[in-house]
Amino acid sequence: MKINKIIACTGIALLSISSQSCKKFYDVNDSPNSIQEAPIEQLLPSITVAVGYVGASDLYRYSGLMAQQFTGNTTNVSQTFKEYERYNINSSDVNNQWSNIYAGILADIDKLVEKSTQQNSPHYAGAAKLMKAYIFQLLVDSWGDVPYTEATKFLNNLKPKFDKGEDIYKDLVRLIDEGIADVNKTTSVLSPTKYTTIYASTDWNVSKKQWTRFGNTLKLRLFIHYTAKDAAYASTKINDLINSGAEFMQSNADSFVMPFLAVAGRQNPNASVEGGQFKNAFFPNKTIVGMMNAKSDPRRSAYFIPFPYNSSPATYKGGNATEAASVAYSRLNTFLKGTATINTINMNSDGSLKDGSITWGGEAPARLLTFAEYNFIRAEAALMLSAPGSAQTFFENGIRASMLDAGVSAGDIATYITANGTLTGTDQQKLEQIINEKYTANFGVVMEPWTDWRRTGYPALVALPISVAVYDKIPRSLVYPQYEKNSNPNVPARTDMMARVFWDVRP
Amino acid sequence: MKKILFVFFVLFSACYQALAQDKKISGTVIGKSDKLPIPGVSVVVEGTKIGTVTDAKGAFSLTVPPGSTLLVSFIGYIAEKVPVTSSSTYKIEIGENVQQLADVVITSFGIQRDKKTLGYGVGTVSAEKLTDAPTPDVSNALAGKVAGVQVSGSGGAFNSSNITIRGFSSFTRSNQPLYVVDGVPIDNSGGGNSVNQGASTSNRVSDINPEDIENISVLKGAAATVLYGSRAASGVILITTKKGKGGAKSQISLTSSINIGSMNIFPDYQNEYGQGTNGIYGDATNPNRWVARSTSWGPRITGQSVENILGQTVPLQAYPDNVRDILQNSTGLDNTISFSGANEKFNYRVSYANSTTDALVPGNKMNRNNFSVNAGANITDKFKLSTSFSYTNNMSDRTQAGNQGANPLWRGIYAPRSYDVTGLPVTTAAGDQVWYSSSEENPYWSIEHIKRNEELNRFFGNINLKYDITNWLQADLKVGADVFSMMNTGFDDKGVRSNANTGSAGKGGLVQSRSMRRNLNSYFTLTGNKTYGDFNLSLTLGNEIISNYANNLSTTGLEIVVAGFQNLDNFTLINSSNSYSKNRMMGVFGDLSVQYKSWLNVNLKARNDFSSTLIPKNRSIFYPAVAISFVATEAFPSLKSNVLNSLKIRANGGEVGKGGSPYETATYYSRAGSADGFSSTSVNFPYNGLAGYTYSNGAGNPELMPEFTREIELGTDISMFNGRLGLDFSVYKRDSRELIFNVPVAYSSGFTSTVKNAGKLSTKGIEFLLSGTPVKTSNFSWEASLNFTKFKSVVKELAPGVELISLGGFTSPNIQAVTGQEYGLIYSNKYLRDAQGRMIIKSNGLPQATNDVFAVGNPNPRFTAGLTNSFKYKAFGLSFLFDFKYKGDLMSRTIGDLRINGVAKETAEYNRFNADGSIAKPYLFEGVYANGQPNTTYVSAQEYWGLSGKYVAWEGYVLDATFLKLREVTLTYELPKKLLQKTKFISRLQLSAYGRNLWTYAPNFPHLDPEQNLTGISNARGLEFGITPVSKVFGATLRASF
Repeated sequence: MKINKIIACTGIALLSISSQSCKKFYDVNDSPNSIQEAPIEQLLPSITVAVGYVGASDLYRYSGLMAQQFTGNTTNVSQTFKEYERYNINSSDVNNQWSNIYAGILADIDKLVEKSTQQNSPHYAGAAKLMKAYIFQLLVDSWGDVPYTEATKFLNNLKPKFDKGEDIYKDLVRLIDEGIADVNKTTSVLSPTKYTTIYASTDWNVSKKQWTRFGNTLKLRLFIHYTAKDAAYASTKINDLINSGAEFMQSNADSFVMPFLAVAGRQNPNASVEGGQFKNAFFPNKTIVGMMNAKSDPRRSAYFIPFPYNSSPATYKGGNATEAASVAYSRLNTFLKGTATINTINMNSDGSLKDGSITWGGEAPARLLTFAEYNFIRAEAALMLSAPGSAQTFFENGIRASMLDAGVSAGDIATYITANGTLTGTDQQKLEQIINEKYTANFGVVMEPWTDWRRTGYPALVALPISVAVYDKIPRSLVYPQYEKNSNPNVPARTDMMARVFWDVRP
Repeated sequence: MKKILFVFFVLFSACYQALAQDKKISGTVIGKSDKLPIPGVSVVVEGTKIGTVTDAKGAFSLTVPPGSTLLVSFIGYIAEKVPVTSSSTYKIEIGENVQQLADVVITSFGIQRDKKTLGYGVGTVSAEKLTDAPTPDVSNALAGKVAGVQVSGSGGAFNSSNITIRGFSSFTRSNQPLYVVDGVPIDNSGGGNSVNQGASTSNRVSDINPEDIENISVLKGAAATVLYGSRAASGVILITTKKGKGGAKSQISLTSSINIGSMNIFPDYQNEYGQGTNGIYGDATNPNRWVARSTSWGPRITGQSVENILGQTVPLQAYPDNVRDILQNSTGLDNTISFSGANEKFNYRVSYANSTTDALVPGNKMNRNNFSVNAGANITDKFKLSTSFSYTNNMSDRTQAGNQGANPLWRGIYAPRSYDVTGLPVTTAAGDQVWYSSSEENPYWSIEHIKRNEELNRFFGNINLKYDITNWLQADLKVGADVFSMMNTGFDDKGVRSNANTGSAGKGGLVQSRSMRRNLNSYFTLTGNKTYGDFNLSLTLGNEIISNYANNLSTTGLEIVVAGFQNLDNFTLINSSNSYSKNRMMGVFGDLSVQYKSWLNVNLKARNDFSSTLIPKNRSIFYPAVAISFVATEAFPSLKSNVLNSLKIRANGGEVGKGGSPYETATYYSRAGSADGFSSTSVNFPYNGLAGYTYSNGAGNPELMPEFTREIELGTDISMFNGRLGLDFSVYKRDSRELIFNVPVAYSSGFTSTVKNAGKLSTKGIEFLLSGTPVKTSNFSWEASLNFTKFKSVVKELAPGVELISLGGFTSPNIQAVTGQEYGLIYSNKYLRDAQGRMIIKSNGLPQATNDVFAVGNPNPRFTAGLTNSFKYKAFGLSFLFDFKYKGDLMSRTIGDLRINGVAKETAEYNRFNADGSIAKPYLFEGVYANGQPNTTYVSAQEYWGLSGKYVAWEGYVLDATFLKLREVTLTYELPKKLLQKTKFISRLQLSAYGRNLWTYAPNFPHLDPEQNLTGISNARGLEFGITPVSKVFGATLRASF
C-alpha cells in the first residue's frame, strides 16, 4: 500500500501542484448548496406558505370539483381538471399532495416544534401545533384513517401505522389546547412576529390573539363535524367550549387565510394556472352559479366575470362535465384571483373573453377557515345542538362577513339579507338554509363545502350521471396514494372513492 | 515529495546504450502500393533484441550479425522477413494488411493489443464507418454499428441518442457509457429533457467532431472496463483521435459535406372534414360561426360558407399542407480541414472544423467550431511527449420541446384540417396571438418569440509523457483537463401563453443560466513487458486521480416590461440560484497479462478506488477481474484448415465498484417552495421578504457503501475461409448489487426517500458480429456484416417492501422499475376489465379507465440488429446500413392527439355521416356491459377515437415501435491515383453521395418516426409527447488530400 500512496501523492502533486495531504483531498463532501440546520425563523414561513398552498392546489381542486363549486369542462386539451370533476382521481394523482403534506409541511412542523422547544421558544411551537391540527383535520376529512401517532418519525419509523380518523380527531383537540397554551406562554426567547405569512404582526400580542382565536374556532369546526355521528358529543363539546369563555374569531381580520402576492412565482394558483397549459380549464360550476343567480347574489361580481361579458344587466353562467366541451362560461374573478386589470376587451362571438382581456394579480388569499364560517358553525350549533346564541343572528352575521370579504356594499348586503337572510320552516329547512349560505360563503375554501355536503346532504347536489362520471354517486373520500401503498404495508385496502370518513354516517 | 520527483527525472534522463554489432546495413521501407516511404517501421533482427525504427524518410541503419534475418513490421502492414545478404543496402516493400488492421484494438489507457490475446469482447468502429453518412453527433453515428450496443434515438433536431451497452446497471443513475478521448474521460452530461418545459438538449459528447476520430473501441464487459474504475460501470467508449502519420510530405486534408433533409415520416391526414364537433362547425346557435376548438369532427367540406377566426365569411376548405408548411427543409454543412505530418522526431495534426445544421422546425440552428491539435515529439529515443487538445465552440438555437403549448408542433401537428395555419395572421393588430386555441402558442409565434439558445465553450485535452526506463519497462504520465462553460438563455416574450422556458404564468420571462465544469484527471502507469521462454508477461501498475468541479448560476427575470427586449434589465422580478458540486476520486490498479506461447492468455486485473462521496471508513472500493483466452487453432495446429483459420475461446469475469453522488451522506435543509405539478403554479421563496428553508424530503445516509456490478462473459472469435467469414460471439450475465439509489419510503414517515444500498439488477444477453466477404475479385468485392444485440435487464429486487420506483415521466403515465419485471416499464391507468379480462363497456358503448395504475407497456426492444453491406467495384463503393429494432413499446401522445382531434386519416375511414345527414356509428368496442352481456352499442368515429373512447386510458396510447430503417446509404467514387498523380498535388480525391433515414418500415407505428423519447437521454424511455421530427437526409461529401 505504501507504494500506491507514493504513486498517488505524486500524481496529486503533479495534478494540483499543491501540498495538501491525501486526507484533505477527499474532504469535499459537505454540501455547499444546503445547510445542515435551519433557524426557526426560516422554518415557519416555509410552513405557513405551504399550508396556504394546500388551500389553493390539489386538495382544494378535488374538494371544490366534488362539491360542484368548480368545473373542469373545457375545450383545452389539458383535461386534468375535467377528469377530477368526473371523479377520476386516481392513486397517482394524489401522490403529490400526500408528499407535500407529510414530507413537506408535517415534517417541517415537527422539526420546528422540536427546535423551538429546545430553544425555549414556545410561541413558534404553538403556531406550528395549531397548523398541524389544521392539516390533520384536512387529512382525516379527505382520507379518513391516516398515519398520525407514528407519522413523521423520519428514519425511526419508515412504515407508520394508520390511525383511526376518530382517534385523530380526539387528539387534535388536545393538540390545539397545547398550541394555544404555547402561543400564550409569557416567556419565549423568540416569537414569530414578522417571520410568518399568516397572522404576521410587529406585535406578538396581536398575533397571539389571532392564533388563539383560530385555535378555538378550529375546535368548533372539528366538533360540528360530529353532529350527524354523535350529536350529543358535539353538543356537549361545543357548549363547554363556548361556556369556557374561549375567544373565537371576531372579524374577517381574524380569518385564517394565507395571502398570496401579486408577484410572479408567488401568486394564488387560481391565477397562475392560467399562465401554463391549464389556461381556461377551471371555471365556476353551474351548481353554485345557479344558486347565486336564483338569489341575485351581489357577491357574483367578485366571484365571477359575467357571461356573456357584455351582458347588461350582467348574467353569469357556470358549467359542468355533462355539457359539450366549452369555454363559454363565466370565469373566476377577483375573489379567487386577485386584482383584475382590464386591458383591451376582446370577445369571442359567443360572449366569452379572449385571453389577455383581463389579467389578474394573483394576490387573492387562500381562505382556510374564515370568520364567516365561524358564524355559520355557531348558527348550526345554536339551531341543532342547543348551543348558546341565536341561530338567526349568527346566520345573518355569516352572510354579512362573507359579503364584506367579497367587497359588497352595505346597501346590497342589506337588500340580500332582507330577501334571503331569515331562517324559516322546520329545523331541517333552516339547516339547509344555513349550509347553503355557508356553501356560498365558503366558495374556494378547501374541503369544507364537500365535508358539509357529506355530513348534512346540503346543498342538494346531484351527482354526475354514470355516462359521464366514474361513479353515479358523489365520492365520500379520496383513494390512498400509490407511493404510500408501494412503501407502506399498513395502508388500508381501498379501491374506490366511496369509503366514508368516520363522521360521515348520513344514509 | 520533491525527492520523489527528483528520482523520476533522474530515471527519465537515464540513457540506454545499444550494444555494438558486427555488420552495418542500411535501407528504406516503402509501401507496396504507393511506393512511398513509411516512417516508424520496426526493423528487428529475428530472434534477438537488436532493432530500430525507420525515420521520416523510411530509412534505417542497423548493425547486424552475419546470416541474420530482418523482421520488418508495422501495424496495419503484413510483416516481411528479409534475409541479410552480402548487400549492405536494402529496399524493402511492405503491403497493407486490411485484415490485420481490424485485429488491433485499443484497450484501457491507449494500449494497443492484438485482438487474438484478448479475453473479452471489444467492439470497434473505424473512422470510415463513422463518417460514411456523416451526422454531427457521435452518439447518433453509432446506431446499428456495434454488437452489444443499443442506440435509441430520442428524436430529430439536435437530440442525442441513448447508448446502452449490455443493459442497465443502475436504477436511477446514469446508464450512459463513459467516453474516453485519447485516454482521458470527458464529461458527457446533458441530453435529458424536461417533460413540460424548455427545449431539448444535446449530450456533451456531441462536442466532438466525428471527422477528428480515427477509431472507436467499445469496452463492454466489466473485465474490459475495470481499469477505468467506477465511472465505467455502464461501459466505455474509447475514442482515439487522428494523429499525424508518416509520409513523404506533410498533408492537407479537406472534407466537405452538405446535406438537405425533410421529415422522414409525415402524418397521414384526412382532408374531408373540417373543424368542429359532432358534425357541426359552429354551435347550436349558429352552425357556421367561429368557435375556437381543436377538433376536426366538423361537417364534410363542400365549400360551404363559414365564419373564420377573424370573423370573415369564407368557404370551408381543407388545407392539406397546413402542418407541412410550418416546417422547412433541414440542411447541414460540415467542413473539416486538417494539416498533418510526421517524421522521426515529431508528428502533428491540426484541424479546424465547422458544422452548421438547420433542423426541420425553423428556429433550430446549430453552429459548431472545432479546433484540435495533436502533436507528439520524441525528445530522446526513450522519452516521448505528446498532447492532444480540442477547443469547441458550440452555439445553438432551439425551439421548445415536450408536452407544452410552446412546442411548435405540440398543437400545430393536429391543427384543424380547415384551419389555414400559414395563411392566417399570426397576431392581431394589437399584437395578440391568433390561433385556434386560446391557451397555447401559434407555432409561428412560438418560433419567433420563444427563444432558447446555448453557447458552449469547451476545452479538453491532455499532455502525455512516456519514458522507456528500460527496453521492457515504460512509464507513462497523462494529465488531462476538460473545462467548459455553457450559457443557456431562454426568453419568453410578452404574450407567452405556455410554460415555455420560465413558466412565467403568462408574464414573460428570461432565464440565463451559466454552468461551468472543470474535470481534471491524471494517470500514471508503469508497464513492464518481459518474455521468459514461452511465457510473455506484461504488467501495468497505475494510478488515477480525478478532481471534478461544477458550478451553476441561474438567474430568472419574470414580468417583462417592454415586449421583445431580451435583457434582465427588462424584468421587474429577479430570482437567482446557484449550486456547486465537488467530487474527487483516486484509484490504484494493476493489470497482469500472462501469455503462454501464442495460444493461452491469462489476464488478471484489480483496482482500488477511494471516493470522496463516501465517509472515510467506507471510502475504499476494491474490485478484481480475470480474463482468459485460448486460441485452439494455435494450441492444436491440426485444427487449422482452409475452412477454419482461427478459433479462439474466451472467458472472463469481473467486477466494477462505484461510490455515490456528492452530498448524499447527510440530510440537509434547502430553500422552500410549493408546487402542484402544473408548472406555472409554483410558489417560491424568498416570499414577501422572508427566506424559507424546508427539511429535505430525501434522507442522506452516512452508512452508504459502494455499489458493485459483476459480470461473467463467455465468447468466441472464429475466422474461416481465409478470413472471408468471421464470427465474434459473446454471451454474458451481469449482476448489479447493493445499488445506491433513493429508496422510496412511506411519505408519512416525513421523508419520501432515503438513499441506500439496496436492490439487484440482473442482465443476461448475447451479442454477435458476423462478418463476411461473399465475393472478392480484383475488381469487385462485397463485404457484409451483421451485428446483433439482445439483452434483458430484470429488476431482481428493489428494497425490502418496495415494489416499484419511478424512473421519470409524469405522475401518470410514467416509467417504473418494478420488482421481478424487466427494467423500465410504462405505467399508467388502463381499461377497466372484468375478471375474464374483457373490457367493461358503459351503456353508452364506451370503455372506462381504472383508478389504479398498472404496467401497460415495455419499451425495451427484444433485440436490435444492424446489417451493413459494402460493395466495391473498381473505384466505386456502395454501402448501406439497415438498422432493425424488434418490439419495444412507445406511448405516443401525438398519435393519440391526431386521432382524438379527428385529423388522422383513419378517423375518416368510414363515412362519418349517414345518408340522412345524421352521425354514423360504425364502431363497436369489443367488451361486455357491467352485467356481462356483450356490448352491442355502436359509437361514432368521434366517440370511438375520443378521450372518452379509445383514449380514455393511457393504455390506449401504447404502440409497438418495431422498425426497420435504412439508416445509411453511401455511394463513393475514389479518383484513381494515376489520374491524380498528373495533378501533382492532389493525392486523394473521393466523392460520395449519401442518405440517412431514407426509408423506415414501422408496421405498428403509424404517422410518425418511432424513434422518439420525451425525456431524451435518461432511464425513462417509452414516452412520446410532442414530437421532434426526424429528417430524411440526402447529402454529398468530398474528401481530398494534398
